[in-house]
Amino acid sequence: MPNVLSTTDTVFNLLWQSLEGGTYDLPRLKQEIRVDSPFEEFGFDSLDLVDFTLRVQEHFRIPIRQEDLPTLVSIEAVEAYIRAHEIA
Amino acid sequence: MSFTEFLQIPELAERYRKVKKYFFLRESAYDVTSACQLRCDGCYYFQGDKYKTRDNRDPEAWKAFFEQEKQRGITYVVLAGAEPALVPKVLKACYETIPLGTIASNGLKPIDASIRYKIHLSVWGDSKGDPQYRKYANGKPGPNCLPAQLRNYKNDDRVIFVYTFNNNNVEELDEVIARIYEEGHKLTFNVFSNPGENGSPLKVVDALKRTREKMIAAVEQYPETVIYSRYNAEVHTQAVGLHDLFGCVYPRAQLIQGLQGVGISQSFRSYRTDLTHHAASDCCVPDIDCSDCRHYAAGSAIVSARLNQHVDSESKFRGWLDYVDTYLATWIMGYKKGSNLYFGPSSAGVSAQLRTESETSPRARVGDVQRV
Repeated sequence: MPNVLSTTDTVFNLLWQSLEGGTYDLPRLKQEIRVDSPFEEFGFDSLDLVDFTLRVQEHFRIPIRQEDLPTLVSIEAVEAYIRAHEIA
Repeated sequence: MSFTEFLQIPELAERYRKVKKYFFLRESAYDVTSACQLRCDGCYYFQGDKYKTRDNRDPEAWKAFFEQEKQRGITYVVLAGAEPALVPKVLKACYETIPLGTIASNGLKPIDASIRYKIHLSVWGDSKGDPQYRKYANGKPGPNCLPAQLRNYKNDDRVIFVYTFNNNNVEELDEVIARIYEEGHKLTFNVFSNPGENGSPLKVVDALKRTREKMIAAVEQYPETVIYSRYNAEVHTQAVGLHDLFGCVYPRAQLIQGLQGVGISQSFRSYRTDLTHHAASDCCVPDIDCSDCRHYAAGSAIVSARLNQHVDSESKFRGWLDYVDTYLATWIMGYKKGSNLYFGPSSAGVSAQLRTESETSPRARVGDVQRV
């Protein structure tokens, strides 16, 4: 059986990729961030979150509109956005 | 190609990693005094009503204030209005609290060497033009500022000169750039943006194309002196301003449009000399006409924040990387600009590319883009 990542795991992976090379303590973040943790609690810069949403957009092939960015406040919010916008 | 595919190109990946280290910057702007030796045509500070506030002159109050700003998450300060060099104790109080920042100065009075902020020295024209555009407070023709600036800041690595192009001074750059080159200093560009309430005769009306050509020629002829890029030149000399090109990210513009925004749209404040701010004027140049905004400080925030509007072509992503690299070299002590990666759009002009994008993005509602 191929090891298929869940949507949650994939979104987390895309987040880690976005934060690499920044000023974050990634090992600590990987322990602390839960699916419902608000991103703002961790002080992510908005450009890192733009990077993240670009990766989400590309991986899941969904458009993310500029005005929707303020709603993508946690992993579970991003997952909900993906579910609402993915092509069945 | 896509964003992650662009990042497989070694030179783009390397530059992206370089600029990404500075994504943590969170800035606000502070007018620190209402005093200035000069009254420049169209000066942003003396527009509107912000200059009518009563200055807080207590360094301890400023110190406590900057501590609060630090607690609010601010990591970068821009000290301006009217002439910061006239209040050295406030500059010291700020620097001791938030060590990253820039001071915008006319350069007539030196700023203590212990303040290790970038210092942007404004140049408005050559030896004939500068005194015309920048008068003394009593209305008489001002000094030619450049010789005094070069004297006060000889071999000072904090300094970058900022030449503001207006409708009348494009060719005056030649004399200025030669002197700055001789002294081994750096130079970047601003484009005059018209004040909102009172129009200025310096408003750029028919000089955009000449300005762009002059900027690009300067980048090519003085690569070690000029901190700028072809993409900067294209962005700042379009027929429409930054707001219509990209959608302004500052709280003032977001408020007007009823948008919530993220990042700088929520955190940026423009404080007056009495330590107050108002959401309706939270913008780095709050009293200019948004539709004519080509200001370099505004661009540093607006274009940099719009990464997502620069990933639908490799040339635009290259342009964005150059723009952010230029921004950081202009505003961050010790940051060295790399070579430019953008050599022009491959087929259509950048404005045409922006127009294509705007048809599928929220910016389409803001305005159309016209080729100059």
